[in-house]
Amino acid sequence: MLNSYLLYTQKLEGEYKESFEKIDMYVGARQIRDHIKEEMMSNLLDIFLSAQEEGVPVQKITGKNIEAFCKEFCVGYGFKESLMNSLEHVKVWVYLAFFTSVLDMIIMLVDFFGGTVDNLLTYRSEMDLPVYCMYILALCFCDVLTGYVVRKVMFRCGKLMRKGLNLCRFAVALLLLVIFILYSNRVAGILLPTWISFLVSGGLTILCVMATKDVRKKAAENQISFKEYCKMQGTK
Amino acid sequence: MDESQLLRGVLEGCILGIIFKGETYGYEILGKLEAAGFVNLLEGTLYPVLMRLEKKKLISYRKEKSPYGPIRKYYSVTAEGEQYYKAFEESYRRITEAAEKILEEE
Repeated sequence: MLNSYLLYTQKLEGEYKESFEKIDMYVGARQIRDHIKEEMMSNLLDIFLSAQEEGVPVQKITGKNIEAFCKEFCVGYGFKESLMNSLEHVKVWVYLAFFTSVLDMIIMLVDFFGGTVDNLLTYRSEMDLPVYCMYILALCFCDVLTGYVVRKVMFRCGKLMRKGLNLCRFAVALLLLVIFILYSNRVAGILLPTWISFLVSGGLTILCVMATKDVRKKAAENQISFKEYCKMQGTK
Repeated sequence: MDESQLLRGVLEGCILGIIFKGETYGYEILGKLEAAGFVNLLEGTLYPVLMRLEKKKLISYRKEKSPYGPIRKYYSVTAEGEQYYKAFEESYRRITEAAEKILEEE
């Protein structure tokens, strides 16, 4: 299993724990890809634990302005990184959309060679694939937007409110899904042809594979055995 | 006076210099910088510098589980990093000698 930094955060106490949680939330809202975040936070946690062990005040590590620290810590990870991260999180939906579009294309070709379809360019199947693709793109956009809002607001509100912000992000995504499901028939009236759905879902699939390439490699490197994990839990 | 401009100019070279002296990791680098007199240097500033050095292939790293559990990166200088550091040392000495001459004259 993954030797994630999250397994060790319980070792932090007091101001170290509070500061680390704020930074963790900021980096999460910054929408940096998981494997990069894992590396950054693991490094930082090690520094925090070392400082805690030696009794060094946490402000020696972060300074007085933790928001400024977070911005400096995440420098170099801009919009491109946020987009790659969003793609990583919606990859299951993208792969599903591409799979259904391939089935759709097969059905289209069977119908075409069967003589029931005249024009491949205007053919549209019964499946609401264009709606799914639109939902995926909307989800990526919302993910980036809500992350931006969380980052701006989180240092100006209390602990409970900060926990609530992440719930709000999830609620927005869920609401979007419900709206799309409820209105999918109406939206599907756009009648996008099958070949466009195939190209869009295919393009998104390629982007997702590219975005997740490093994730698979890093995840394979950073593993601990289940036995080691149990041993660690036992000595908490 | 805002020291950040001066700091940015030398920080990369100094961090490379610390790593050049022996394999080391983040907290140790911070400690050595502070001991040398780089006060108020934050880990938030250290991390982007280390990233830049990695991207330029001046340093490499190996990962190992730290005594506290999380994965720790141990940095060491590459062959290009060694050359870059020696060039930095020479440039820095030349510039500080010239600056000292001017400041002493005042």
